[in-house]
Amino acid sequence: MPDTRFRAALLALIAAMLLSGCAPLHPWERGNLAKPHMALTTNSGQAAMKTHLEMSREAASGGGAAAGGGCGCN
Amino acid sequence: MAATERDQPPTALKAPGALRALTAAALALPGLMASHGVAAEDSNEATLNYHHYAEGERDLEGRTYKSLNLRPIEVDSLALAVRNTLADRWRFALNYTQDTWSGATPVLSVPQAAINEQIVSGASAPLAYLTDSKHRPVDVDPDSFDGQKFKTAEDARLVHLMASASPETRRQVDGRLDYGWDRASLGVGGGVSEEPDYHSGFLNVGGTFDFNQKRTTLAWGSSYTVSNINASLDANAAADWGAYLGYIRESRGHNTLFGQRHDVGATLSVTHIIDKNSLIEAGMGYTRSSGFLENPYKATMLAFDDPNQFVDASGLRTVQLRGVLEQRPGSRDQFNWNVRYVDYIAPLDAALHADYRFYHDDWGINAHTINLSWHQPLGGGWMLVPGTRYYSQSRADFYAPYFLFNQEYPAMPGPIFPGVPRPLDFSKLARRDFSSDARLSGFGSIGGELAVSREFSKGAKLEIGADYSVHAGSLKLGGGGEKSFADVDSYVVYATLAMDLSAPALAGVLPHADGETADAGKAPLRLRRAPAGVQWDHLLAAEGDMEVGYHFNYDMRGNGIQHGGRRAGDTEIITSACEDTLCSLTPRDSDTHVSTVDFMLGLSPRATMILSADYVNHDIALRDLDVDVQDALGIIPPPRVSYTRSAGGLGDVSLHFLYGLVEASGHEVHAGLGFSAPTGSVEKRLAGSRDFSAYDSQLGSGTWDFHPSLTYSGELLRFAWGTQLSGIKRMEASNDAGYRLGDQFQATTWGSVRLTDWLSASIRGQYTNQGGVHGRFDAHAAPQVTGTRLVGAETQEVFEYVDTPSAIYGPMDSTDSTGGQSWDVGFGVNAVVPSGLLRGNRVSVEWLEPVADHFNGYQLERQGSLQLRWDLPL
Amino acid sequence: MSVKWNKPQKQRLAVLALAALLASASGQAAEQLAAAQDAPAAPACKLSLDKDAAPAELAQYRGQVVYVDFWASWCGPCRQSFPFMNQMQSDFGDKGLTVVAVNLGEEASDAQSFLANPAASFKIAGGANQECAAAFHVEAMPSSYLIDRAGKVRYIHHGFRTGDAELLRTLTATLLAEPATTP
Repeated sequence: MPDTRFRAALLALIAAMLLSGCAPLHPWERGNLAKPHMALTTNSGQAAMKTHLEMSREAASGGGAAAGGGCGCN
Repeated sequence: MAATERDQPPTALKAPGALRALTAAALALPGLMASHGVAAEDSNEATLNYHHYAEGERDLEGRTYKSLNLRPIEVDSLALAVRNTLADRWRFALNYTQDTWSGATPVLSVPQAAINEQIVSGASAPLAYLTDSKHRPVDVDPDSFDGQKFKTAEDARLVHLMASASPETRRQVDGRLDYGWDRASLGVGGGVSEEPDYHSGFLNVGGTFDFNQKRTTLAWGSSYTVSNINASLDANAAADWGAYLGYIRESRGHNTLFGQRHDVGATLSVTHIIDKNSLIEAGMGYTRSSGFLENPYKATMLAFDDPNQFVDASGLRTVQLRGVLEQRPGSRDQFNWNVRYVDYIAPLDAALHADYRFYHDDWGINAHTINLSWHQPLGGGWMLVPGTRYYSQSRADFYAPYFLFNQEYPAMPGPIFPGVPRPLDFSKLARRDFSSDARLSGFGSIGGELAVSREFSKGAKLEIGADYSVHAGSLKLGGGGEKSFADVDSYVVYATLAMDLSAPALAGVLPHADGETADAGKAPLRLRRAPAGVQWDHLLAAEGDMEVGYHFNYDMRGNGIQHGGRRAGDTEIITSACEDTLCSLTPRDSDTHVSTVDFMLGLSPRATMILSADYVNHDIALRDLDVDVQDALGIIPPPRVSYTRSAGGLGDVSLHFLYGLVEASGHEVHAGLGFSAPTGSVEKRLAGSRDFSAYDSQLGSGTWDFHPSLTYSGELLRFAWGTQLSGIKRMEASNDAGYRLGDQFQATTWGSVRLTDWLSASIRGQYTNQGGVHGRFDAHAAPQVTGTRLVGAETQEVFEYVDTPSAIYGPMDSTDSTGGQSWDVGFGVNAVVPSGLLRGNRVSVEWLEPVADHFNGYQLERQGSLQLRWDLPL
Repeated sequence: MSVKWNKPQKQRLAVLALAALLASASGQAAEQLAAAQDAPAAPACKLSLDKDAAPAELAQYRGQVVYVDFWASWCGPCRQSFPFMNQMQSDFGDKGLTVVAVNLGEEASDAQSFLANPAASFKIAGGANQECAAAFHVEAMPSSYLIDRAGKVRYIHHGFRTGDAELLRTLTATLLAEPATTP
């Protein structure tokens, strides 16, 4: 089952991530992270439209809270 | 806090514990802003987004879209979003989205052998195909009979049957309100999405918790959506609806399927800052959908190969076909796991974004999505973002291009009518669920995208991007995808304008405690401007000044058809409003929305340049004219699917120059010269056929136009007034569709009074003379030209291509019923936000009430228009 | 452990967390200052106020009320606080307030464009001030410290929202009204 493997990999990633939180990071060292192109989503309006289109062209959807309605039935 | 102590330099204060105690108290106090570096969450911004999606042509086995008069799917979308701080800890977001879909989409797929058999037999639809002794679909050469056998050739091809829908617009409004604590937030949101056949409402709730000095954030969300479907089955009239009899009722003369679905979902994610240059998010989600999950416009072909049938000397067997509405399971459990990673590449000041999502559902679909993008700043505010996306899914358990059953055609008992397929007894089928919707097939898609953005110094950002992707069965991960007949490519172009609403407030000095502002004198200047419905009314003060504006015009018509200053009855419309034919339809009401974005740039204190672009949306609702009168006159109603005509998309783009002629104290006169380019489509049609979707529902003029104007404005004390003369002159004899809109002349005069130092009120009068359309839509000019279109035929048979002449069905199709004169009076208010984060934003609203009309021909009465304008100096 | 938060104050903090507006009720605001005798002394770190000038010590402002703000150009709330600090300097400068804004950003060019608009009328410490930030236990951006005339940290504020301005003004005015005592 590939899906079990992925779940395991994801869990491992999350665990690694949480453990790595021990190295100190001062508040004033977050300048790079605050750059606009370091945001997880850089253009949220465009991302929402893209998601809606993908939802209507592909079977997989989700990964966020309810983004809205519409069937995209065509 | 061991780390902090270890890092403590020797010069630290003598009682570190005391300072830490004070620090701890401060952390609990209000005022701590999120500072974990996940940018943009605290921004106050308005964004406007235009998005155009278009598919390429699918493989129709030798037939071109043009020969079938089809167009591939196109989607035009516009979204407006505002995110803002209400009070220190309250934030809201409001979104408005609309998308207009048009073009042709596959309804079902059939073996090419069945189409060939249909051509040979002369049947009106693919009813059957032949297979050889190895059960392979074959084509039979009818001239090859040698006395014993026909010559056959294997034919494994599949072909789509396509159907077009008239353009339809979906509108969505949603909002969200969040409250932020120092280390947590909670928000609720909701919205509605409306389109003619699908209505959704949704609610969501979610929150965040920050840990570890905001290095780690846990976010959760939960949502509920209810959707009501009422889909006209006209396009699938020939399919067997037997499985849905309980859902189908007649509505407005159409067999309509009513369904409801529910979606409940939950998500959980963790975002963690790994180090000063990277962060990661990992999340999972679950959604349960239940109810009517089918696509009501998709059908599927069931093929019955009766094992006991007579096999002729050629060894050929007949496989009978029957089209049915697709059937999916009543519920769907969907799971998502996703990881997003962002890494800062310091030497290049670039950011690498890598996202991966795995999706699994209980319909048998597993899907992988990988997104990679590289965000490269180029200096001067420019950013280049190349990216790529790969997607792959396995097919649903109940997907097949068509379904072959090794059983006798399972007919319901009952009378047999020749040429009419017998209703299916679904209980005798070996499977319950079947869909041929290619979106449930196994396929992959790969695409590349490129975006360019420019950030202007004062809080405005423009981004333009495009992507191209190829969707193919062979791209499925691990192979085994759908055959190439379902392959298609597509592209997207988009533009986003983002405005930082708090930029002007930050440029000046914050208000004193007593509310005085250092530049309080500036607000009244902008309070003197013309009411919202007047364009090109002011010059910018200096070279290099910039302003961005958004204008929304909502125009309503309805309340019956007017002719010669009175209301016209149905009989009069039928006999008089359709030129030399008789009308069968008439508009019931119509709405037009135009969103205009303009950029103003001061070239000198006397000259200002304005670049503006429209996004246009039209909706016309039609009704049948009095059917008894039509019958009496022997009118055969035209075949049609929809009583609405909609169109939406980018309108015309224009460039204007304003030049100051007189500037005396308290008085100003300026002239305007503008040109608009025909970027808006003038060939919006119904259902992919030759039917024109009305002159009033095209997106642009289709011609290069000249826009002159002359504006006088004056002011004294609290009062301001003005007059403007403006016109539109079409500079070409006709557009690509064969006609030209009439010229326009408009005169308006207004007065306003300042009520407070942030609010003024206005009154205005307006006269408009709009010329009628010259020439006519080319297909109307030659009504004998026949087109081919797909309709559901009366005969209960599958699909039929029939030739139908283009026609003028009602006053909206006639050039005689365009143009006229009108008089309006307008009432408006105008406000400039005096303080706070939004200071400097100007909002004005005006209602234009029609006073009198003198239309040409037969037109809907005007019911008024709402004008809204927002602008912000940059 | 010199700063003691008594129970009623703690309760008030809880209320404040729910209704931020209440914080601006000035009668209560002054009570949020740490008591003078309990307050910790400001760390004695060196601030490089200017590339060319010798590093300054906070101690040289002894006798004045000092508002020390740690900021960086990439931090949005910091940007919002600059007009406020301009206002503080112009309103209270002649009454004995010194505003010192300490830049912790790593890129000098960013800071320059940040400072150009609006022009800052208070003291800016540029250069390597990370040691000072560590000494002050800066835990959020921005962080500001109100130091009384005796050199004691009486109030720490994390973050900045426009609604915080009133509280900070009131606290500053209260400290300015305290008599200058020789340490």
